[in-house]
Amino acid sequence: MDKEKIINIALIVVIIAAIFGGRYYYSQSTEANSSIENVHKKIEQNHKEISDLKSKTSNLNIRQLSVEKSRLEKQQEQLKKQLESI
Amino acid sequence: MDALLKLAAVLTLLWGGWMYFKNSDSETELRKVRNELKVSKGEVGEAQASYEAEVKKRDALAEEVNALKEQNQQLEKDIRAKIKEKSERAAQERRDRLAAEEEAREERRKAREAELAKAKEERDAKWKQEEEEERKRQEEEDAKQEEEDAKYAAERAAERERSASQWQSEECKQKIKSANVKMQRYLSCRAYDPGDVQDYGRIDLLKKKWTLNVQACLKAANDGNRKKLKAASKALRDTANGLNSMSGGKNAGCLSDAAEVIEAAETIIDATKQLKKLNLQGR
Repeated sequence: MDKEKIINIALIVVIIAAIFGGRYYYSQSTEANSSIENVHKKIEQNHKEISDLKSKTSNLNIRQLSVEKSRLEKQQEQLKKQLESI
Repeated sequence: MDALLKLAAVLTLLWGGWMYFKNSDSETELRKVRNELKVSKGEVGEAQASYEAEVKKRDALAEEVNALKEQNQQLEKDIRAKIKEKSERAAQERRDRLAAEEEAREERRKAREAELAKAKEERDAKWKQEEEEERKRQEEEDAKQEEEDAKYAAERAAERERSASQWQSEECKQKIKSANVKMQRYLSCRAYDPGDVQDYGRIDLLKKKWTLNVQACLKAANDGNRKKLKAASKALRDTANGLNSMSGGKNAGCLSDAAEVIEAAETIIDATKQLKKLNLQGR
């Protein structure tokens, strides 16, 4: 076998290996990009969920309930005094 | 051919290398975003935990609020019940007090009625006794009064009788006295009118006789001797007739004077007799 042939075969092998390797990394890259896109979507979804949770948390009206509780406690004291006084 | 093959080899190697680096970048980016995802997941977990904690807190507060509401409602119910109980107790006490007052009033009324009945009985008995006593006293007083009336009537009768007899005595005395005076006036023949009579001797005699006869009548009357009075009266009438006849009937007054004298003498006798009788009754 001559040198050129061997070189050509090696080149062909390299080309084949490069094609398969490139294809492999291409597919990997595409998959990674897809995953990245999915992760972004998930992150965005998480942000939205966090926002929703914060909104829901702020809509729980805990302050209003605290005020109501305070009012009811005062009312209870007055009622107890009134009961005792009867 | 060789050059083309070499170019293809170079190009494929370049493409393969570029893919490799691209893949490497994608892997790096993927790790990065996965880390971000992990962080965001952690944040979501925190937010979720925070939300759950807030929800628990809200639930706890809501439970407390509900419990407070229920307690307050129970307290209001207790207050209403206590007020109602108090008002009912007050009403019951008022009813009891009214009933007790009514009972006491009824007892007082019964006691008063009993007392009034007893007082009435006592009063009736007392009245009856007083009436009986009054009746007895009245009877005694009536009897006494009747006795006194009878006594008074007897006294009055006796008094009247005494008065009457006294009066009659006085009257008799007065009659006797006036008759005596009357007869004394007729001692001289006052009514005689001599006229044209001539026999003065006889007339004087008759006048003296008149005087004597009147004196006899007076004496007989004062002595109460009716016989002598009768005789003296006859003589006096005869004397009066004599005087009248001597004057020719012009001295009729002598007759009436004689009648007056005789009447007075009889009056003296009757009055004296009555006076004696009255004196006898008075003793």
